[in-house]
This record gives sequence, structure tokens and C-alpha cells, in this order.
Amino acid sequence: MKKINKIKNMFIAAASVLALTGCSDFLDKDSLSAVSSATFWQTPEDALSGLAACYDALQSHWLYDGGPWECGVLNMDCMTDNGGHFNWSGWMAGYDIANGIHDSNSWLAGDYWKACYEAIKRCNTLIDNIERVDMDADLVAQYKAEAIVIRSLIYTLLTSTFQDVPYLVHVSSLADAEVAKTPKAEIVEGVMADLKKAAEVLPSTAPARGRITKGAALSLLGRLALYNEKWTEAISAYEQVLGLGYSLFPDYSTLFTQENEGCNEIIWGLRFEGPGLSEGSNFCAHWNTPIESMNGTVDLADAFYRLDGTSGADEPVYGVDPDGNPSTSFDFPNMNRYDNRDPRLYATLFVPGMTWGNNSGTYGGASPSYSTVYVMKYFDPYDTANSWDSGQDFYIIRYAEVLLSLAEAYVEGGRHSDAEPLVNQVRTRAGMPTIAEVEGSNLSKDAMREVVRHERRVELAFEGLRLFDLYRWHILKDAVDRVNNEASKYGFWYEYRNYRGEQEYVWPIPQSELDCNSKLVQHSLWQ
Amino acid sequence: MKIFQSLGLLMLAILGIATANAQQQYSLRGIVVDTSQEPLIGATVMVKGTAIGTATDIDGKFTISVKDNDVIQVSYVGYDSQSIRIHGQNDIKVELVDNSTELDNLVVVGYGTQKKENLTGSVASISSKDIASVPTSNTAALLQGRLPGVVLTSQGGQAGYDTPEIRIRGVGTLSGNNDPMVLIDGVESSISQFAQLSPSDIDNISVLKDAASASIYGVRAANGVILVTTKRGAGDNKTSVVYNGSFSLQEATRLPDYMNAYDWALLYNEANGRELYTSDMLDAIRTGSDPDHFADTNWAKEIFRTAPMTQHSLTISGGINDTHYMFAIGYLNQEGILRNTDFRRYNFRTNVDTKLKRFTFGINLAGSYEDKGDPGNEVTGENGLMRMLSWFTRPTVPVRFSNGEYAYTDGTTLSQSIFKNPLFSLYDGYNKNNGYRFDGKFWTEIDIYGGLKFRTSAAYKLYINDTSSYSPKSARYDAEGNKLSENTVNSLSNYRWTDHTFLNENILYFDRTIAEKHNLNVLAGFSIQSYRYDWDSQYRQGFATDNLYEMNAGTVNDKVGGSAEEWSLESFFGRINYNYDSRYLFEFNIRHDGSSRMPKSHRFATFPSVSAGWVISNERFMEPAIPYLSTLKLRASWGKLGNQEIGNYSYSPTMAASYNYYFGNDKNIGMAENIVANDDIRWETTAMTDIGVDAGFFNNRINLTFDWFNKVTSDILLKVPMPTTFLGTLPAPYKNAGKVQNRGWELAVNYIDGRGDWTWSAGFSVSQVDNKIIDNKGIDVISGSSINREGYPIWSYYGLNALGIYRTQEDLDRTDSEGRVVTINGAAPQLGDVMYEDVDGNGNIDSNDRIIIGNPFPDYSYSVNLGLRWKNLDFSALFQGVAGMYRYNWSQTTLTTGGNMTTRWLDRWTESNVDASMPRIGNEYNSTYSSFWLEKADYFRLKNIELGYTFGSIPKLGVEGIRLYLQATNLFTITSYHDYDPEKSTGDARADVHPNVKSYSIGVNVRF
Repeated sequence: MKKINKIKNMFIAAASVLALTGCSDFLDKDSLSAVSSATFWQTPEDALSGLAACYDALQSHWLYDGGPWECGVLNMDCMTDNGGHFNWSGWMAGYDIANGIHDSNSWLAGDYWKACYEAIKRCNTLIDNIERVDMDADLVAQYKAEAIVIRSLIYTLLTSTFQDVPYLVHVSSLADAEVAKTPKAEIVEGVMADLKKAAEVLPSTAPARGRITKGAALSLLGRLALYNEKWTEAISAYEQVLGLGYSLFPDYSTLFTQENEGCNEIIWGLRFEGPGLSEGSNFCAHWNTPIESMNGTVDLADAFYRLDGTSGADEPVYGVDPDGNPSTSFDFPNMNRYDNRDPRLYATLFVPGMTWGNNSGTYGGASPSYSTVYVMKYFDPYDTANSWDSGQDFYIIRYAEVLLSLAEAYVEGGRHSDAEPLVNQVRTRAGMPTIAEVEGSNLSKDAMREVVRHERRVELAFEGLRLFDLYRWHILKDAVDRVNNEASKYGFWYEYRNYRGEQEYVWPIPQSELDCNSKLVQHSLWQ
Repeated sequence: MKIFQSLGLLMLAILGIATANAQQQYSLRGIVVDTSQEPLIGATVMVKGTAIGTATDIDGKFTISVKDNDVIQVSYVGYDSQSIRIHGQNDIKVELVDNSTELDNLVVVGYGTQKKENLTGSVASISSKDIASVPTSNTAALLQGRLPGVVLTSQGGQAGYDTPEIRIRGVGTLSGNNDPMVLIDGVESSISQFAQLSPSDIDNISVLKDAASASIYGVRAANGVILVTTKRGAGDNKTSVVYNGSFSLQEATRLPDYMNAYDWALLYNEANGRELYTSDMLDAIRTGSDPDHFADTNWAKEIFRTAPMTQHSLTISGGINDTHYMFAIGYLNQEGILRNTDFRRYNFRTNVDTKLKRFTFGINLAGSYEDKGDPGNEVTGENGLMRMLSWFTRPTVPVRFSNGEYAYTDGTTLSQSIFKNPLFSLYDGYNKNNGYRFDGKFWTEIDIYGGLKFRTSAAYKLYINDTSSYSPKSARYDAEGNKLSENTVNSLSNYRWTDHTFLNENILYFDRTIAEKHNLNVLAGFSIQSYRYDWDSQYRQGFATDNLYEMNAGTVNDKVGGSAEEWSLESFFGRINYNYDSRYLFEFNIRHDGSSRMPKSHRFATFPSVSAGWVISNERFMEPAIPYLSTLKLRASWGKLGNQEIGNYSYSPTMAASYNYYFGNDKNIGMAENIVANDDIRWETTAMTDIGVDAGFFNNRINLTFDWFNKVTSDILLKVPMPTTFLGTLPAPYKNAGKVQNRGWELAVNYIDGRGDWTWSAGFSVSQVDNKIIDNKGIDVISGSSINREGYPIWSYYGLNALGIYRTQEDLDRTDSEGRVVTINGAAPQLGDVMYEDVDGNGNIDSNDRIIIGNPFPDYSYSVNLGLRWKNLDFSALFQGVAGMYRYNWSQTTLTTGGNMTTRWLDRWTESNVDASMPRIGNEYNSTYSSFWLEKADYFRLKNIELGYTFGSIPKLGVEGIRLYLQATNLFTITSYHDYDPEKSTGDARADVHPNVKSYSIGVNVRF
């Protein structure tokens, strides 16, 4: 009936125009599904809707979601010694950066940049406009602080990849759309100041799961300080987080499931809700087999020690073929190689000997991984149907990272023995022996650094942090070599990873961006 | 070519029959003249019932042997024949009357008709008889090669989706829509609606090419205007019934020639530098001993077929006193050449008008139902079936294993997950796409007084499109029956959109001749048009079984969506047409348009045009000067046109609620900017100058039309790229930024003549357009392998300049000016790699070395038509081609996805084949867009060939005439382009389009 009325109205409108010969609102047609920007930002509901849009920006496939082909922060471990795009290679965003063959037209660099600035734009829109809304001043301050933390997270990502970037803290207009870069140090300084202020405003307990709290702001402050080697500030921020009552969830193997996304370890989880609610995630999508878009390396699998803390790296990778002859192909890997390892291995990687849910075929049904190893973290092998529209949250910050980051800050900040209990907390939860039991007591600063870095790698693998760790520890060359060596040692079909020099530590500013912004200059290493 | 030989033999046989013996009695001399006493040269004079005949000489005179009481028949193309009984006279004068009916002489123009001789604009037209009997599934495609300056490009021949791209006088705008405006019986339509008209409903198609003829349509006319007029009944107190039916067989014009499994497996080993296919496996492929694991499948041949098409139409028309009527029904049933595709269309049309004293009332009603059977998977694009053929299937995998399951693997470890079985995808699920169309128009004309008329009309159009797509559960198995992966979700997705258009027009006409020589024709009108578009969608999962295709059978994960858009247009328009003595012609048109798509401040714009003509041949001084020149007219016009195709709300910034987020367990509406707007946009305008000549020679048996034009589109509404630091992920707003020029010419020459029982005709047309971006705000807009850059054609090909292939050590040692060995993307080249020009001279080939490597537009588009008629036998052929055109013929250069490769790759570089035409396999950088992959795509095609025979009347059955015909479309194509049909859109670098269709038909036309 409604439609018929609309048609009727069309006729009436047309007829009335006839009568008035042209002086009516016949030509005024406004959007029927979107509201005018000019009339927005008036009610508290408008403010909350604007805030929701800021969080929503993080759900970009180039940031904290992503299907098997795209790759934001989430799959960045495939550009490190933790993994690769071995089976699917050129199909995967970021494979060019992983292989060191990218230039300023890199697919990933362009889309990642865009997604970052979309999020910044939404945050700045809220920050600039929320004062216009007639609502409780504390709530205004809180919403603003949340937007500032989201923006700070984005600048942490941008400065960790492109380094110097345009630093926008207000909405820009059509006329001043072209902006020059700001040096990384200056951005970091500004963002750290922002985070400190935000932490003062934000509540300790979230008004609802997924909302940003004081803990999230301080943890991000710690992360940014650590990334920029500001050890004192990192220690100070993280020590405050220690006092906020977070704790490690007892069972690592079920931590990355929907059941436990509300646990006390999650400091900031990016919300996804599904299936069927239009808010599901794709990052743990699969076809009832491990997803071939992400491979783990044997190098990472071997970083998970045996239960007694010793390395299992010398065990043979290959098993026997169906005729009983020793295999030289990843089709027939050693199915017992990964018995009795650090329990976190089986929650992080899909290694020979494991089965994918109820699927008992070779490698759980997928074609063999070129590295014999696939990825397991966040995947739910028992639920294929809903994995493409999943309710699984992505943990942007969890308490284990805080502990290990603080440990690292202690080591670098000259208090390396203070790191030991923090690492032990993480190991104990995982079911692994303590430092004293394995590495011994009174470790030197360098030895403790190795312990902390190793622990960080296994605990946080495939959570999107490894690439930035390689960058800031400046060990990319070593990581590239290890992957290339592994390929030649076992006869794996990896594409060769190039290391062209210092330029690999910084991403080139997208060419399309340089082309339309006359004030923007490419990073000197990419000129 | 065989068909030509057969045709030639047939013609020879016919000629033999024609030269029968003549019986001599006495000589009759005569002269044949037209009504103005001009002698007619080459008129045919026959003695009826014999084969005796002759033709008139240059003075119109003839001599023929007759005997008393013979009847001579005098005929001449374009004139009514006369039969005269001879009663012993020796001299005779025959006066023939021009038989071109009023309709033939009239050309449909905007809001009316004009006498062809008084036309000052550039208008091309075709009438129903040129196209009525061509069996086609797409009426728009019939224009190809038939109208100079109108260039059609097939977008593929998928059943139901074969509407071609139509460009009139080049590509004028950068902002997207370059489709001409289409009006059917005066109501704005679209190319896609035109495409679905029943060809037998069409009376006439006019194309308004220059600004003078198109500017009366103002803001929508910048890309040219196509006016389609449908048939109406004639007032002869008689009912005529015409049935037209045809049956066709269709096949692909060309399918890529893919490598066989053995060659492919060797290529794969070579590409990856390892023996994945071992010698045992290669043996199995060669011998076919293990078809489950080592097959030899030609996937292109598996998914395409030869498919039938049937068409029927019935047209009933006539008049009783002052009432005229036309009823028509049409039916088309096309099976697609792609398996599991088909298209059915049912049309009806009724045009009735009646006169009561000063009033004429008319109503046009038409409707159609279109039923498209879509395949289970999209056809074009990155995820389309065509891409599956080129990237995701390989010949070593069978279509199905012997256990009946669709195959995804061969006997190697190559992953099933990248493989896509196109046969499975074709038949997967259930897809339908139905269209429902209604068009209605009512009009009244009042003859007020002394040449003053008023006409008012109201039209309403409705189109509903309904798509439904069901995706069932599925699983992949290997040859042994092990499950490899499965999709455990089934879902149904419905989408429906509805278009409503309302149009009201009110026009005053004044037509008067003053003092015999001043002919004045004036028109003034006002119109309003409004449009609304609604869409809604539903989605559900969890169907209990896979054979229920309605939403209520689903159980979980509902999704719904819907929205609507509107626009409206308010217009004032007028025309003054004046001629003095049919010698000096003037016309002035103006349109004042207001559109809802523009911000209030710039809502209205005016589009004027002026034109003039001089009919030199009507000047007295010309008559004695050049006797064989029958018509000579010079024309010139200038005018402005507009373009409003920039979306409905481009000027207004809005926030949309599509950025939602869950806080805890509550879904929060997320509102963010969804359009970055520029509230200062104004109209894009096109100014066009046209200078033309029309000439007719030898009583207009040879006609020539030549036009030169210069079309400049300025203030082009362009989405000038802006920093994404400002835009985020949103598209850039429109700005009035660009300027594009299309300059060119069109020439058409037609010759028609006849003698005795013979009539023949030949025609040739050629057009040329130079397209150039004059202003793009200095910005290069790069999209993949194309660029918009000032000074070059729109979407010029952009890429590396390939110099050849590295074949020698010397080539590898190539250095730049500073003596550095030239590297490719930082790495040293290898033998067999494509060698590129180091444009920036920095010793390394990368994206900075890209240059413009080609023009996407052809230099010339041309067509040739031939016609021949002898007694009841008729023959026609239409050839069509382009010259100076390039298209990408890109290929993968690695086998990462394990896709098919064409036999071009048999001649690839290897150490033992250093002179190869293709590079080595295995280096991805060789596939970078470069001139290496740009190939000449000139073609010359036999578009249409037809042979018909007309039988006489069968009074017993009430049959007036029966015509049987054989017809073929796209019978052969001459081209040097490899593997694919060269006629395809510019953007198709990766051969993703559905092949074009070749067809053979037999048809019958019966008149009662």
C-alpha cells in the first residue's frame, strides 16, 4: 500500500507542478536513506552513533578483520618469520612485502593507509562535533576520550609502518585536503600526551564489553612508549595497568574462543557479533579445513619447546610415504614430531598429528601446507558454517602482552631481574616450566632479553604484533634468512624472500596518495 | 568461404535463366520522365510476361521490341511502376510518379518529424524494413554497421545480457555514463529497454548526432539521442496480419585454444622449476590410462555449446475510418551458448488512435516479461566463469571423476582449494532473473486553428526486476571418495528493484506557409518528468532441504535491506524552423532544464542551438550547370548539450547508518559520513559544431552524406582523486574539472539501382573520431592498465614499454646512460624475460617507467553493405569492421593458480627456443601491463548475410505473400588478434567477457 501511495504522490506532485508551472518543490529531492550531515550531532543518540562508527572503522578488512585474502594487522605475521603466504602467494595482500618485492604501488600499503585514515576521520569528526550535542559533560568527555584512544591506536600502526605520516587531529575540509607529513617523533609525543589525558577520563570498568577503558588507554600508551624505546614511560604506564585487576585466563587453549571473549585477560577486544547480525567477522573463516591462505613456519613451530623446556627442532620433519619409504615431501610429514610440546603450540598452529574438528583426512582435508604447518589461533574447526560471519572478537590488547611488554621494558630499562616473575606468570599459565627451571637463575641482561623476546614470540604469535617487533628490534634480515634457510633445508616450495636493505623497515607511502597530494613526500629510503 | 562459392553458383544459375529468348515484332521508342519532366536515366522497361526488357539512356529514352496488345511495364527505383498496353503506337512518353511515401521522406526528430530535404541537423535513420527480418536476441545490436557515426561494441553474448555498448560521436565524458539517451515513442527509456523491444514492433529509428538536432533534449542529450518509433495502423480500411518466425543455431564466434593436458603439465613443471608431474604421470596423461587422476579436459569446450533460438511475432494492424490500430505480440526463446543459461521474452504492444472532429486521441500500451535463466555463478569479472577458465581450471583435472563427483584435483598434490570447477559452478544452485515491464502513454491532440495544434500527453513506465539466487550445500571429494572440504551453509538471496517514471508533456505546434515561399514551423513545450527507484533484498540461511527456493523455508541468519532514490526534471523547450522556398533553411532550438540532481544555486541551465542549410540544388542557376547532380545541400550547426548522469544526490553531504557496532550485547547504530559532497557543482556542458554536405547524383541513385564535427565537453563532473587522508575510504566528490574533445567525420555513400527484374544496392560508410582530454587539472588518473592524462585519449593504455624479449647475453648486459646494468624491479633480468624501456633512466624498471602505450579507440569504424534482388529472390550482406584498434591480450606468466594456458605458450622462450614469441614461463613480472600484451585488434566481419525468396499470394488461404529466408550473423571475422574475439570492451584486459555469438537462421514471413 505504501508503494502505491508513493506513486500516487508522484502523480499529485507532478500535477501540482503543472498547475503552478514550475514554482514548487518538485525539484527538491533529498536522500531517502541518509540524513544530512548538517542536521546531525544534536542528540545524545547522535553522539553514541558517531562513537559506534569510530569503533566500526577498526573492523575494516585491512585492520582488525579480514577474509582469507585481505590482510590487515591481523595477518601481518605472514610477513614475518612466524608464517607466510606460501600456498597462495600472489593472491594474498602483503605477500609482496613479505617477499621484499613491493614498491609504492603495494596493494596492502594502499588499502591499509586508507583504512587508517578512514578511522582517523571518523574519530576527528566526533572529537570536533561532540561539543555541539546537548548532553552530560562527563559523557562528552568519555566519548571523546574513546575516540582519542582509537585514533591513538591508528597512529601507533601508522608510525610503526610508514613512520612519518600526515598527523591529523581535526576534520579537514575540501579546501585544505592536502597535508604534509609530521615527523614520527612528533606524532608519538602528541599521541602519548593524548593517551595520558584520555586515561584520566576513562572509567576503569567498561560500561559494556568492547568499550575502551582506562586500562586500554594505559596499555596502548605502554605499547607506543615501548615501540619508541621510551622505557620509563612504558614502565610507568604498564605498572598502572598491573594495578587495575586484570589477570591471565587459566586455559590458553580456550582463550581464543567466543566463550571466553569476556574474560578478565582481555583489556580491549574488538567486538564482532554473529552470525546473521551483519556484524560478524571473517578473520577466522574456513571451509572445514585449515585455511591455506596462512602458513606457519617450522621456525615458529620449533619456538614452542617441549614440555620440559628443551627444543624439539632436531626432530625429522618428514615421515614415511605410504609405501614405507622415507618421505622427502611435505605430503608425508612426521606425524609425531610435535608430540609433548608447549600446549600453546596446538592453540596457535595446526601441525602434523592434529585433526581439524571432525575432519580426519590428511591435514584435516586441506591440501598439504608447503611448510607442513597451518594456523590455528582463533579458528574454530568445529564450526565451519558460521566462520564466515563469526561472533569471535579480536583481542587488540590482552594482559599477557602487558606482562611481557613490561618485562621487556624492565630489561631495556636496566631492571632485568624484575622481568623474571612476569615471564614466569605467562609460562605457568601456559603449563610450561619457569625461567629458573629451564634457563637457570641470575640471567644476564642479554640472556633475559632473549628469554623475554622468545616468550613474546610464542605467546603472541599470529596476533599481529610480530612484524612490529622485528622492525623495532631490527632483526628483519635475520628473520628473512631463517625463512629462506628453512625452505632450502627441507626443500619447501616457498618463494624466495628478498632483503633489499633498510627500506624493508619502512613502508612506502602509497603512490596514489603522493599523486594527489602535492605536499606529501615519499620516505627518503623509497625515493 | 564456402558459402560464397555456393552463392556465386546460385547467382550464375539465375543469370542464365534471365537471358531467355526474345521475340521481335516492331520497335517502340519512348521517353521516361518524372513529374517535373526530368528524364529518368536507367529506368527499366519490360514487356510483361516475357523476358524482353531494356533500360533508358542518359536522356531517358529507350527502344523496345513489342507487338500489338503487349503490356509494357516501366519501373524505376523510388517511383511507382506503370503498366501501359500498346496499341500500335511508335512513340510513347511515360511519366513516373515518385513513390516515396510521406514516411520515407519524413525523418523523426525531437518532438516531431521533418522533411528530410529540410533537415539542417545531422540525423541518421533506419526503417523497419532494414532490420525486421534479422533474427536477434538483442534489438539494440541491430544498429551495428547501419548508422555512420554510431559505434557499437559487443559486451559479450550471454543470453539475456547481450546489450552492446553504443557510442555516438566518441566518448564525451570522464564521469561515467556515455550512453546515448533513448526515447521510445517520445518517452525516455534506456538502451537496455530498447534492446528488449520486439524488432517487428519498430517502424523507424532516428539517431540525433549533432547539437542542433539533440539540444531540444537539453541536459540528457550530450551523448546523442536515439529515437525509436513503433508501428501504427494505416488508414486503409483493411486489416493486415503479418507473422514472422525464425529458428537459429548459435555458437561462439571464437573460443580460446587451450593447451592439452600433456603440454600443460610440461609447462607447469617448467614454470615451477620442479617435476611435480613426474614422467609416470606424464605417460598417464598421454595415454589416458588414468582419466580420474590425469585427464585431458578442454574446459572451454565443456562449458560452451551450440544452442538454438526461436522467435515468433504476430502483428495485426489497420484502420477503420478515423481509427487506426496495431496489435503485436512477440516471443523469443533463446538457449545460451553457455550451458545452463537461457532467455525467454514475451512482448505485447497496442497502439490505437482515433479522431473526433478537431481532436485526436491516442493510447500506446506495451508490456513484456523477461525470464533469464542465469548460471549458478557470475560469468564475467574476477570471480566469473570466464576467469575460472583462464585462471582456475587446468586440463589435467576431469570434469567429473568416475565416482560421479565433480573433480577439483588431479593425481598431484596441487591444492583443490584454488581449483574451481566451472561445470559445478554453472549448475550450482538455482538462479533466476525476471523482468516485468509496462509502458503506457495517453495523448490528445487538438487542431486549434490555422496550423496551430496543441498536444498533451501523460506517460507512465514501470519496470520490476526480480532476482533470486539459491546456493545449496556442497562438498568436494577426491577420486577415491574422500571428502576434501565442504560448504555446510545453504542460503537464499532475493533482490528486487522497481523503476517508476512519470512524464507529462504539453506542446504547442504552429505550422504555416506564408506567401507560398515562407515556411514556418514553431514548437513550444513544457514537460515534467519524475523518477523513483526502489530496491529491497532478503537473505536467509538454514534451508532444511536443497530444493525449496522460497524465503519461508529458511530458518536462520536473516538479513534484509532496502532503499530508494528519486530524481526529477522540469523543462521548457522550443523550436523555430523556417525555410525560404526550400532553399534557405534555418532552425533555432532551446531547452531550459531544471534537475533535482543539481544544488539549488545551479539548478537550471539553458541549452540553445542554431543551424542553417542551403539547398544549392534548388537554386535555379544549378539546374543547367550540373545535370547529374540531383541534390546538393550544405548544412552547419552549433549548439550546447548537457549531462546530468552523476548520481542523484552528489551535491549533498550525508551520514548513513551503515557503520554499526556492538557495545556489549547491544547493537548500536553507527552513523558516519557516506558521501563526501561538493555543493558547488554545476552542469557539464557539451558544445558541438557540425558542418555537413548531402548530395545526390543521377536522380539520387547515388547519395552521399558527409559530416565534420567538433564536440567539446567542458566542466566535466569528475571525481578528481583526493588524498585519502581527507576522504578515508569514501570516493572523491565531483568537481567541475575536465574538458574532453571529440573531433571527427562521418561519410556514407549509398548506391541503389535496378534494371529489369534486377535491383541492386551497395553502401559504404566510414567514421573517424579523435578523442582527447584537453583538461584534467593536470592530474593523471590511473586505473590498472589505463590512464586519463591531458593531451591523450580517455583511458589510454598505460604500462611499461616492452622492447622485446631478452634473448642474448648482450641483451642481459643492457645498461642505462650511466653504464648501470638495467634491473627489473631491483632484480637482474634473465633470458626469456620481457625487456622494458627504462624511461626514467635510473637503471631500474619499475612503475615509474610506465608510459602511454596505446589508444583504446579505433582509428576508423566502417561498414559495407550489399543488396541484390532478382524477381522474387533477394540477397543482402553487411560487413563491418574497425581499423587501428588495440586491445590487451594479457596472460598470466606464472602458473601460481594452476590455470589453463593457450597454445600461444607453446612458442615460449626456452633455452632451445630462443626466438620464441612468448617470454619464459615462471616470472610474474613478465605479466606486468606492458606494450608486450597490447595487440592489434582490427577486424573485418561479415556481420550479416541473408538470402530470401518471396512466394506469391495463395488466395485460398488468404495469404498475400510468403518470404522464406536464410540468414547468418557474424559468419566470419578476419583479424590478427589471438585467441579471443577482438570485439570487446576496452577495459577487458584479462579476457573475462562472455564470447560473442555467431548464428545461422532460417525464417519465414507470412502476410495475410
